[in-house]
This record gives sequence, structure tokens and C-alpha cells, in this order.
Amino acid sequence: MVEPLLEVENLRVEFFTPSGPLCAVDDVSFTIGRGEIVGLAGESGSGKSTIAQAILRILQPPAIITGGAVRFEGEDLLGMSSAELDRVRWSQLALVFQSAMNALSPVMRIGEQIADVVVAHGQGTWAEALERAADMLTLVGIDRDRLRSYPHELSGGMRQRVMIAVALVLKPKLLMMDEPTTALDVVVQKEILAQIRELKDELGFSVLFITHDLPLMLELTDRLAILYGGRLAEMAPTSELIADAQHPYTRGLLASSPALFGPRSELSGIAGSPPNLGSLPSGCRFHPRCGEVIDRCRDESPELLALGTAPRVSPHLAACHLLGAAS
Amino acid sequence: MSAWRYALRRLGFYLIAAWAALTLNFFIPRMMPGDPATSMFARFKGKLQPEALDALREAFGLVEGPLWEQYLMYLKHVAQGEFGISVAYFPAPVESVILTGMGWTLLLAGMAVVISFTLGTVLGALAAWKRRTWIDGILPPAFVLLGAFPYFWLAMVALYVFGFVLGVAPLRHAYDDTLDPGFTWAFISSVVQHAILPALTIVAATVGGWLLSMRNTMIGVLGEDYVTVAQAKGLSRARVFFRYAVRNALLPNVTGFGMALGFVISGSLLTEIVFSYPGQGYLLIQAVRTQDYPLMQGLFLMITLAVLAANWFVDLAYMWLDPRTGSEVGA
Repeated sequence: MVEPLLEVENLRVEFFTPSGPLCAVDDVSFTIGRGEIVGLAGESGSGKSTIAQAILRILQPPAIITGGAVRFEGEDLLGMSSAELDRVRWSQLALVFQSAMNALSPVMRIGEQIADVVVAHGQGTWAEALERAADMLTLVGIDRDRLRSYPHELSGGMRQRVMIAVALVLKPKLLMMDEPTTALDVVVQKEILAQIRELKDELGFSVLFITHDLPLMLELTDRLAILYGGRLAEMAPTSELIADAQHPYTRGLLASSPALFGPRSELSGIAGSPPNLGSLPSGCRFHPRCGEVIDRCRDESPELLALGTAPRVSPHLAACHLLGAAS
Repeated sequence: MSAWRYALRRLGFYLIAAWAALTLNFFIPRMMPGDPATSMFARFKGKLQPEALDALREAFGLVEGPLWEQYLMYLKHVAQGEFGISVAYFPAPVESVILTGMGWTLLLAGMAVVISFTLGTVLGALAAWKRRTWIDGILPPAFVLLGAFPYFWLAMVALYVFGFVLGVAPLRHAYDDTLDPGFTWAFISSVVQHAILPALTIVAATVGGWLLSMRNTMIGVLGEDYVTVAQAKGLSRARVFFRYAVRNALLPNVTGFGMALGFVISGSLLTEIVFSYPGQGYLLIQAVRTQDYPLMQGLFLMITLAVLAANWFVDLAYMWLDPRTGSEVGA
């Protein structure tokens, strides 16, 4: 089997708060193959942003990685020294933040903020770096004269494009995007997503796409992971997930967003609210909101199991007792 | 709006404020009962020359003629830098008295403010960067404690210990009286010796404020996404610290620095009294004691203008430091 680009194995992240540790990411494992677009979906507090920041190791205290492994092309990111980490960061994996307004320093020209990555990684002089920054701007559809603009002189959509230019300037192999289009209107959102797909075909990077916007995910991703309360609830190739969702939570999510095409269907939400990490329910974390709850769900946490018996490269995984009960 | 238009608009605003101050300075003596010049002349019981009375009258603008004519005359004198004759330092003109005092004040308080600002800002930034280490545990409380003492007490203790008991610092004045002022090694080293202790007391008393405000702003900035992005970009620690964090956290402190510079001209009143340092603050006390109205008026005017000028310089510095200044809101 081909080695995946990124392997996350049993990742565990805890927030050390005054009232005791909270486990924000609990035993999460997944892989991303070369050229693949993987989605990470879940409600607020499900741990999706924390996972991306843990992979880049930019979590700020009180959040601390307390277990697991993250391997990038076989190299263990969690065991790296900070000098090794600086070398790998951005040249191999880059992250686009949710709010581009806050992700760019307001007192620096955008050209400098793109070019300083190039210089820091020893890939050229300032003049060369600025030239490359201008090329990147053109690539993301911004006039190269904008190099000398300050962030406040750009619109929200343009700033997000600038962030994508910052992320791609070193041609990383993995681009992580944490809700990159949430703050933008739908038209701009469409344009930017189309652009990412185009750039991906051109540059050949993999994408880890994080959002709570499920319809967007269904359109964009090859594979999709659904997080609930810091744990993986289900993971499968996207088309399979739409057609054959196993976890009641996934089905609830799918039923709560309207389909643009096809027959009209009644929309339904999921009752209740996301779990509080400070007082997680016993057994399956979803059981208090689950419509199909059985006794076992209250006491025993379900394991993430593969569907079917034949081994597959991208198996359909789900963590629900009902699977075992049905088979 | 262009940067230049913004700078000019601000300048216009400060000019209007300066004009208002000048006008108040003209009318306030006229609202007082009696004629300050005559009453002052009487108080000196013939010790003043008759010319001095004329000079005093002119200094107050109490020349013959209608009020508007007096007002224009006053403005003309101010524009020429003439504030009349000092009573306390008779017969020296006020402007030359102020100029001498200003030199010493700029040297002492100016340097002290610059040192205090630089030191406090650097230490504050470091404390925030090294949060949860001993640096942040010790520095801010120590300097804040130092700044919490009444300043005059701190200054007198320093003068007593270093000047009187240990004898390592001079007790008074800006330089050794036996020396002739000039560009000589002996004179300059004497000036430095006399300035060190008062300057240190100012720094000790004010550095905590700079440190604390910089530390707090810096902690806010360090939580911003752009600092996290800068780290994730694999930039050097130094670049993340200076170019991304400090550069953004500096802005509020610069405002405070400008204000502090403006008030330097009024002299560090208490410092100059405790150390008998012949700066503006010392002059102001002398002027009040001797009811030297021309000198007081001249000093107040200088202080007002200095604060306004400092504010304008801060505006200019801000234009350069923060590109958002002067641009349309919501652009």
C-alpha cells in the first residue's frame, strides 16, 4: 500500500483549565492520501480546529497534545525539535485560518507577509521573494500591484485569497483550511472554492478542509470525517457517506441541510445541543440526543469499526452500537 | 484621503487650539481686579525701575488703546517670541530665562522619559513573551511597586542615600558652580554626574507604567491569529517577536510616549525641586513664589504649545506606524 501523506494516529488533545483537564480531541485517527481532499466536519466544540492546530503544533497553552502521533511522509511531527519543525512548517504543511482579517498583520504590507516565508525558508532574497509573492497574487486572482497594499485596503474575499497565496507560496504538499469561507458571502465563497480546486489540480497538493457547512463538504471532498464531541463518529468516501450514512448523528446532519436538487424533503434538525466537554455523557457521547438509543449506548462507548469484511484502502468507518446489533 | 491631507487637517486643529490658549492667556490677567502691573510695582516698594513698570504693562499687553489693539500687540509680541521682562530674574527677558530652563529640562526629563519609555517597553514586551516564567513573575510587580511610592519620597531617599550618606552623587544644581559652562570635558562630565541621580529617580518611578501597559497590550497581540500564523509560517522567533508582535503592540504606548514628551516641557516639578535642578519646573516654582506674572505666563504658554506640538508629532508618527490612520473608515 502507498504510504499516506499524513497519518494522524490516536491523537489526544487536552485543555488544562482551572476546573480540570478537558479532552477536546480524543483518540482521533485518520489519514490523508496524496492529492486527496479530506473533510473534517462537526459542530462547534467538536475539536475540528484543534486537530488542525495540533498537526502544525501551534496550539497555545492551556491546550496540550497528550497522546498519539502525527506522521507526515513518515516523519513524526510531534517528536520534532523546534528547529526541525520550523523547516517543515509551511514548506510542507500550511494552514488557512477562518478569519483572514485577523490572520494578516494590520501594519505590514501583504507583499512582505507573503515574501517573508520565502526568505525565512532560505528560498531566495527579498527581491526574489517579492517577485514570487507577486506571482502568487496573480495565481489567486489578485492584481500584482496589490503587493504594496495593507490588509485594511482589501475586501474580505481578497484578504482570504491573500491568505491562500501566503499558504501556497512554498508549494506545500498539504493545505489545511479551517473554515476558510465561513466569513464570506456565498458568491465569493463559490469563487474561492473553485479557485482552490483549480490550484489543487495545478499544484497537486492535498487538502484537509474543516467546516461545519456540510453541503459545501459534500461538493468538495473525496472523503469525509464526522466529529462529535472530540471523537470520530463516522468516516467514509463522501459519495458513500451521502448514500449510506451509518451513524445517527451523520444522518441527522444530512437531514438538517436542504438539497438544492431532487425531490423536496422535510428538513429536520438534531434535538439538543453539542456536548459540554466538562461533563461528557457516559457511554456513547451522542446518546442523549440520539433517536435510536439502546441500553448499551448509555454504558459503553462504541468503537470505530469498518463496515463490510473485505479490506479496503478507504474503508467506511463508524462508531455506533447499532452497527453491531444489525449484523 | 491622502496622508498629507490628514497631517494638515490635524495641524489646523492644533493651531486653533494654540490660538485659543494664547487668547485665554491674554484675557485672564484682564479679568483680574486691578492692574497686576501696578500692584506688582507697588509690592516692590521702589526696588523696581520705572522702565520695568512699562515693561510689565507691555508684558501684560496693558498698553494704551482699545482692547483689540492691545490684543494685536500681544499677538505680535508672542509671534516675535517676546514675553516681557521677568520680575524674579530682573532685568532678564522672560524668553531668555525660559530658554535656559528649557535646555536643562530637555536634557534631564527628556532623556529620562526616553530611557524610561524604551526600557519599560522592551521589558514589558519580554515579560509578555516569557509569560509564565520568572521574568514575568518578577519584573512587572517589582517595577509597579517602585512606581507606587510617592515620587518626592523616592527622590529624597535617593538624594539622602547617594548624595548625603554615600556622597557618590552631587546634592544640587545641574553642574559644578566652579566650572565655566563650555564644551569642555570637565563641564560635560560634571553635567552628566549631576543628571544621573535625578534621571534615575524619574526612570525608576515611571518605568513600571510603560512596562505594564506594553505587557498587557502585548499579551492581547500574542493571542491574535496573525502571530499564530507567523509562527506556523516557520519564521524565526526574533521576526515573530519584533516584526509581528512588538510592532503591533507598540501603537498604544506611542500615544502615551507623545503625551509624556509634551509634559516634559513643564519640567519634572518635584524632581527639579528636590534636586534644585534649574529647569522649567524650578522656574515655575520661582515664578509663583515671587509672583512673576510675565514668567508664569510665558511658561504656561510654552507648556501648552509643547503639549500641542507633541500631540501633532504623535499623529505624524502614528501615520507612519499604523497605515490604517488617515484612511476612510470601512475601506
